[in-house]
Amino acid sequence: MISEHDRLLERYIGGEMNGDEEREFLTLAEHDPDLRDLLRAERAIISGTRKERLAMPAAPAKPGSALLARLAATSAAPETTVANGLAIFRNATVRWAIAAAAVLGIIIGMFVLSPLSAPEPAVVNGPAPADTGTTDDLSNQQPGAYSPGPDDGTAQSSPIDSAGNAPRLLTEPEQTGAAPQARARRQSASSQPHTFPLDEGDGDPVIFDNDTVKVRISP
Amino acid sequence: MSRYTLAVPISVLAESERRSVSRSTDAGDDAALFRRFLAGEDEAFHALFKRHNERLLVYCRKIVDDAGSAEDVTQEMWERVIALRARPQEVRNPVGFLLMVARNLCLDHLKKNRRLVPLSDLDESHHLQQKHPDLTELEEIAVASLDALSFEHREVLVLNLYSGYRFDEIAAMIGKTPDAVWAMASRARAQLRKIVARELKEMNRTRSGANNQRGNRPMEGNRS
Repeated sequence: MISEHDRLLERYIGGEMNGDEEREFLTLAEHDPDLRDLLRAERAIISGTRKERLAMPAAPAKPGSALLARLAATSAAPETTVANGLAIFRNATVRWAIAAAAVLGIIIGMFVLSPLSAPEPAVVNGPAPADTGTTDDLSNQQPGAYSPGPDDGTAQSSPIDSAGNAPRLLTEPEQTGAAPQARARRQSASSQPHTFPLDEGDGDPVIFDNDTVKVRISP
Repeated sequence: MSRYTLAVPISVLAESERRSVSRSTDAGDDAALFRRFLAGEDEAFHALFKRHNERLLVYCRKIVDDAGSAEDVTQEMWERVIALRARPQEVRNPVGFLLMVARNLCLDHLKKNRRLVPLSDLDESHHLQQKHPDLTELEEIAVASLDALSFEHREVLVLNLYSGYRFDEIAAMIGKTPDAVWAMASRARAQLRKIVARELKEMNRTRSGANNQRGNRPMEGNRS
C-alpha cells in the first residue's frame, strides 16, 4: 500500500515538484519524524545502490575465447541445405497446407479416374452425317448430317463408310475398358432399328427428310 | 520526464549510463539482432553481447551475491544462446529470453549452493563483514535490505537500479505492461524504504539509549 508519504517522496525524488512544493515538503519532513526517516532511508537507498554499482568491476565488452570458440563452431558447421529445406516443415501452417493439398489431390484423382466420369459415347443410328455442326443453326447443315444434342458431350462427327454402316462410336471407350455397360448399350442400339424418342424430352420438333434427321433444339 | 523513469534517481541513471557499455534503445533492435545471429551472423551476437552482457552480469551478481559465480552463470547463459543456433527456434522476446535463462541459472545456483552452516563452526575470516568500506552504515543497511524483499520486487529494483534497464524495457523482458512494472517498482521501493526507516529508528533508539547511559553516569571529578 502506497501511503501519502510515499507519494510525496516519489514526486520529490522524481523531480516533479516545483520550488514551492519542494520547500513545503522539506519543511514538512523536518516536523514529521516518520517522513524524515523515510526521506533519510530513500537517500540511503539511492546513494548505497549507486556506490555499490560503481564498486562492481567492469564486465568484458567482448566475449571471451571460450564463447568465441563456441560461436565459431556453430558458424563453421551450419545446417545442411537439406536440413534447412526441411526446417520449413516445422511450421504448422505449412504442414496443414500440404495435408490439405494432398487430400484435395486425392479427391480430384478419384473423380477423374472414376468410371462414372467416363465420357458417354454417342451412338448414331441411320445414315451417318457427312458434316459436323451444331444443331443451333440447322439451316447451315447439309442433308444427311446429324449432330448430337448440346448435352451429349461428344460433339464430334464420325466419317461415314461407303456402305453407310452405322452406328459408329464417336469415342472409343473400349480402350479405357471403363464403361462395359455403355458398350452393351451401344451394341444393343446398333442392332435395333433406328428410333428417336419423339415423345420424350421437351417436345422439340424432329424433322425427317428422307434419310436425314434434323433435330431442332430450343435454345 | 516520462512516468516510467520517475522512480529512478537522475544521478543513478546518469552513473549507470556512464558505466553501461551501450544502452538498448529499442526491443525491436534486439529482436532483429537475434534473428540475424540465428541466421549465422556473428556480428549480431557481438552486438547483443555488448548491449546486455554487463547489465545481466550485474543482475546475476546481485541475485547470487558472488562475483565469480555470477560470471559463470553469465557465461553459461551466452553458451545457451549460442546453442540455439544449432536448433533454431522462434524467440519473440530475445532480452526476455536472456533474462529468463539468467534467472533460472541463478536460482539453480542458489539451490545447489544452499548450505546451512552454524556461525559458530566458521572461523573468524568467514564472519560477516562490511562488503563495501565506502558505504555508510545506513547505506549498508539499505543495500542489504534488498534481500528482504520478495524475489519479484527485488528483481525489478535490481534491473532498474543496478542494471540500468528502463521500466518499459523491464516490462518487455518480464512480459508485463510498463504500468504494472512501474507500480511493482513503486511498491518495492516503498517497502524497502519502510525497512530501512525501521532500522534507522532502531539505530537512533540504540544510540540515544547509549547516550542516556553515558549522561546518567556520574563523573568521577564531580565527586567531592
